[in-house]
Amino acid sequence: MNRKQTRIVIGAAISAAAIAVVVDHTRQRLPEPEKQLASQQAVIIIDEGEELPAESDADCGKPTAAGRQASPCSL
Amino acid sequence: MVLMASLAVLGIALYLQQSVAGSQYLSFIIGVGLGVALMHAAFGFSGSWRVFIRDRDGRGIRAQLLLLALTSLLFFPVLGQVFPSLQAASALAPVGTSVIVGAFLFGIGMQLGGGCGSGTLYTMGQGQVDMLITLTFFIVGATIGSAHLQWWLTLPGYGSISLIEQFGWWQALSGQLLLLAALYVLVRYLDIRRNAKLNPVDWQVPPGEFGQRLIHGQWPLFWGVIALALLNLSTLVVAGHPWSVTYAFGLWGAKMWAALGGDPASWGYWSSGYPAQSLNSSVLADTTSVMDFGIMLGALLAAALAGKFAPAMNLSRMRVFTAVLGGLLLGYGARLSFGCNIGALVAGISSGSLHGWLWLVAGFCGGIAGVYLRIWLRVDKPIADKHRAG
Repeated sequence: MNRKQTRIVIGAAISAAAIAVVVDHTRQRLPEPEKQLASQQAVIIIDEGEELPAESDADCGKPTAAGRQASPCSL
Repeated sequence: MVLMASLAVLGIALYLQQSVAGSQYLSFIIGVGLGVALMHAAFGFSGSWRVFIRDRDGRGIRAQLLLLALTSLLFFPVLGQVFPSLQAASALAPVGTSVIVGAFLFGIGMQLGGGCGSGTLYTMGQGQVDMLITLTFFIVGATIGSAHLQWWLTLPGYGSISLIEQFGWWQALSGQLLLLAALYVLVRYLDIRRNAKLNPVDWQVPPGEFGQRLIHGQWPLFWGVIALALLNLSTLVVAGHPWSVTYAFGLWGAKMWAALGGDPASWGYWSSGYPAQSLNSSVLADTTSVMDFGIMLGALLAAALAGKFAPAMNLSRMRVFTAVLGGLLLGYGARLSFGCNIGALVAGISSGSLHGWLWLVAGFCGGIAGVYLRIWLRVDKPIADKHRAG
């Protein structure tokens, strides 16, 4: 494949990706600023001395440690 | 090309600042910085693992160990809440079967696909079209991995183990730095034993070339270490969590699957928590996605500044095969092991998460398997006998 064809492939890929982002961005609502803050830092309130349930480590749906740990599923 | 890339960076940053909530534009700019640093310093993982496994040239691995040490030095006090005003999340993940299997597969995929999490993005920005195939199947693999993750998590494991919570931040940091120093000495010893001359992790440039090198590259490798560590700290402070790459790939794949009529929201992984929230939000609201876009554009900008943007494609049948298989293994492995060489290895270890160390061991074993698989597939020549003897 020559240089010109290669440039066309790259240009097509970038264009397709840009269109996909625009379509996704216009179809999906944007989160409120407060929700944005809480996004990748799942925060829960735990009483002093209370232990976290062990299964929370492996469950993407449940919040993890108290404000200092990202959901492992968002890594 | 420089002008186009600069305008694209500026335009996207301004749009994010105006239209997207939070600090996404800052995350994007940090991503651009990461792309520039990766490109100018040619800081890669898969290639440096391969030359160490084949030739015992440990320059790249020593640079990675320095990066881990420096990032740990920056992260541990923050995560140990020495600065109460800085609330940041660590990259903690369970230690278990899924991490071992996933990191091993990822290690193989790194060698077959020709890149890792960060490497795939920045070489894409450089214009390497074969990496487009790797990235495409990276996304496919991550999406399949997200569908299977819940099953993998039913296999034996110990849950998350934070060294900071177990031992205290400075005790854990001291122990970790000692371990990294021991690994550095070991890698250096193995290198010297095999090779007559040790390739240094350079940091100096000839007098009068500082500005030229800073803008146009090539950076000494140690500059890359410092830049990546500082930008990783910036990510922690701005985004509230360490730098990660591959979560976005699974998200993009799930969104595409949904656009094709699939229902990823019915999979356990995407049904609740942050994954569900991000699946139902704009991709521009996801910090990892925005940073990944920044890395690609930053690498493109750096390649243009260095005169290295050279769209190239070497698409033999074997290269297509290794790119497809490598990409699938990279994506699937990254999802199972809670991240790639960035999100699990660098961020995990620098956060004091035991899963990061487990990832390093399993991933490197996978890298060894991948190097021999490349030889078996005749992508690389066999390792010379004189090297095996060492």
